[in-house]
Amino acid sequence: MRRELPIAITFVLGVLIILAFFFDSPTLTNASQSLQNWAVIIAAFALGIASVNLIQVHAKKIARGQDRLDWLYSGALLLGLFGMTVIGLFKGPADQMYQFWFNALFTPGQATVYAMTGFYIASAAFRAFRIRNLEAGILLVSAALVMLGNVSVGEALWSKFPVIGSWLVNVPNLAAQRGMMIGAGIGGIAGGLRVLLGIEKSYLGSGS
Amino acid sequence: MLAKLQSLDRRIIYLVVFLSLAVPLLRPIGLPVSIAEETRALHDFIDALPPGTPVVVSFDTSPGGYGELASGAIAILNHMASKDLRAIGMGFFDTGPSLLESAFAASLYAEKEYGVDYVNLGYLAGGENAIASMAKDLLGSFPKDFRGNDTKSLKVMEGITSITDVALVVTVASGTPGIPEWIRQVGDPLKVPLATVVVAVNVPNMTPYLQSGQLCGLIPSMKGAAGYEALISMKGLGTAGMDAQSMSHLAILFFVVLGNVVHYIGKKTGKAGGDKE
Repeated sequence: MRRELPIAITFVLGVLIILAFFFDSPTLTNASQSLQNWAVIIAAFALGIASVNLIQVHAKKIARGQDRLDWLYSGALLLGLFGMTVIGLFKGPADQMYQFWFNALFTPGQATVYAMTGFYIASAAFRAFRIRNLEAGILLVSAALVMLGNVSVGEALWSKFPVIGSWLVNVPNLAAQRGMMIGAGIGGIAGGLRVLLGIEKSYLGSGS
Repeated sequence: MLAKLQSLDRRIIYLVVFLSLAVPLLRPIGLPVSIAEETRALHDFIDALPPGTPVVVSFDTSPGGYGELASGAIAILNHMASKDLRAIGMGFFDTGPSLLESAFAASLYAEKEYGVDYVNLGYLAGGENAIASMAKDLLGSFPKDFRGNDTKSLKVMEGITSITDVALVVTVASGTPGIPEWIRQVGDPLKVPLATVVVAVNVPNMTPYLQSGQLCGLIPSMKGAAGYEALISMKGLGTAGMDAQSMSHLAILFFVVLGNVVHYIGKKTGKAGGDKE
């Protein structure tokens, strides 16, 4: 029963959502709307659970006080978490103080980490992007043409770079993308059917 | 010389990339900006909307991706504000609404009235499920806006009960949920026109949707933003950043060519130094 009941619930609710997608029935629409509202509420609770988990992990790190500066990073994380939560709860996320910390600390921090990948890409391109065979050569030439087609300097150097870059994106890339998307779509349908029919049970957790 | 190049210090590469970005930002070259067809299509679509038309702007991005998307998002908001369109903002990334607040403040909407001309409805958790839920019940999904106001009472929401009441959805997207989720839950089933501002790495993934008509327009990263700024005659972050982006691309291409030349000569002379990280 521990296995059959969740599979039966999954089947009934899954079929309900599919029917609501294809048929214009107020009853089905209302039922699927309620289910999706539950999913939104569960997702919001999942964020809360994730926060609790985060606090547990980093509180342990601080308590141990080892691993050199790890406790300091964990402390900064928890300070940020509690600080932003308190401001958000009492003053709201649109409050000037909340927005200040978001714009002055979080945004530049995350943007910096993301921007640093540009430097690593340049270094990796120098050391690893080698023409070792024909396929690698085609890849490199295509990448160079698309890059030059995407920036103003490419057009300034030769007016055909954007044309060639666009052709590469709109013809060979598009053909490959379509193939992958159709494949992924069919895979998604097959995966969904496996879940609905109880063949795929990994979502029930271990021991099932 | 060959040995030196084979073991080129990565800090030299970082310095060259840094200079290729910093110098054009400080001393712009003024390279020409071309306008992509899909960017012009989005501009023309928005330009044809009558004043007062509601348009949803969904910020489905984090600060990491937003650095690349800000110029395009602000250019669209500027165009919408100049056309007196109503901007209905929301986000399906937790960081989206805060970034949207900054974007509104940096655009012409800052001179307009909140709640009358524009609104930030805030964040809805749940990814694609949240988009599906919002598509079925817009006001029910966002009973309060980001600033704690009752959504139904806002003048900007007059006549809007469903996502089908808006003329266009523009998603500023850098991940999941993003355009595929919007197409599945809103664009295809409800026939609401969709457009997007995307990071450069996602542009090839968007081409099938453009060709099939599931997207009515697209701003591809900073290049698209620079083109859009040219179309609305308002130079901004996109135009300013294009020279830097051009030079950094050239720097990376230079290192790719240099790496291959060094590798080839090393192989020919039997002094292949290996690929050191």
